[in-house]
Amino acid sequence: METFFSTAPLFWVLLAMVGTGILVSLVALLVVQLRNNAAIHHLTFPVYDYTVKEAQQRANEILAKAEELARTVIAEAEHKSVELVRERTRDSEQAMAEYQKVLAALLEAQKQSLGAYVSGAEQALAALPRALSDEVERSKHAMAAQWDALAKRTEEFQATLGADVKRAVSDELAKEMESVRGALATYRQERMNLIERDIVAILEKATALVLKRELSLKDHADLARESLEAAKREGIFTS
Amino acid sequence: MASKVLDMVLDHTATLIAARRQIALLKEFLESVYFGEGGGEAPNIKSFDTFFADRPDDAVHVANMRAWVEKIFSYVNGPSLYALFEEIDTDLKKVAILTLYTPVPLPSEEYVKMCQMVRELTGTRVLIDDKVDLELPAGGAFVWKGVYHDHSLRSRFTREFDGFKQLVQSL
Repeated sequence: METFFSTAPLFWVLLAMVGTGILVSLVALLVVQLRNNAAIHHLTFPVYDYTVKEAQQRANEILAKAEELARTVIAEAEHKSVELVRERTRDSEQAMAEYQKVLAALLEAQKQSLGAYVSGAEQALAALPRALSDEVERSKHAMAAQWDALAKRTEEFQATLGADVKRAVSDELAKEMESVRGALATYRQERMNLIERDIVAILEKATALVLKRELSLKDHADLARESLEAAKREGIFTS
Repeated sequence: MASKVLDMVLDHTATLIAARRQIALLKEFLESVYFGEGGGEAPNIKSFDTFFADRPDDAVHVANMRAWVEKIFSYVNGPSLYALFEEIDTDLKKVAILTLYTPVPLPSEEYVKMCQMVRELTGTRVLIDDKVDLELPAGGAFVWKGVYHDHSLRSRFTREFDGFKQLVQSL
């Protein structure tokens, strides 16, 4: 125990010295670490800055190229669309020429068939007055026959009944005559209307076909100009 | 600026279709000058001729445009090109249109004469919208201010048919 206590201060001194050494080395290490970090940062920052700037420059170049490419693509697309429209226009003009050829052939065939129809209609029209008067004549005869039969029955009836009955029957007969006359007039008018409608349509179509084939371009142009002149006289353009 | 370009077009065309076509050709040419693969030169009559050299379908329109197109090159530039043509389209819609129906398509000189006549009568810039009506026998019908007027032989025939009707009725 005396030995231990005589060496105890030395032990504690040694311990203190070792602890101090450790502490000092730790502090030194810390300082060195801090200085290294500063040095590393100082060394690497320019490199980082340079890398960022270079990347930015490259990005700007790529964007500029992309814009230029976009403009070229747009111009090319416009050009191609115009070409496409022109091609379609050419196709439609060819189709129009074909259509006109076919139409001319159809019009010729229609004109011939319509010519036959028109002459048939003309003959029918020429025969119509006589047919109408025959019809009227037949109706008159039929009516006359009816009237005769009716008159006969009336006489017989009159023979058997008194004067008042005779008068009543006469009145009835007069009304019957009036309605027959009215029916005849209506029938005649309806036939006239039918003829009128059909003839107008036939003559219009025939005139249209003939004029289209026979008139020159100059004639068509003159007639078109005349239409505008007629409109001018009516004051259509100044109203 | 748009009105100057449209005035040039209207002074040299009589039909709506010709006006639209020439405006489209002008736009196509200017787009190629300002945004195409060329060297960025200003537009001129030589580059105009070169651009349309191999376009036989548009030869008539191009020949017509040569008379006036050089005068408008100083009015146009790349940045405002599309705005200019949008304005031209808007102004074109305000131009008075005479829709003319004929039984056959007429030569373009006839449309020029008729357009000139109508412009003198009305005192306004008019364009003719030419259409073919196969139902018309001859002559013309037209639409002016939304009203259809038939002055063709068809209408005259209908009017003069009354005499024939009276003849049939007297039989």
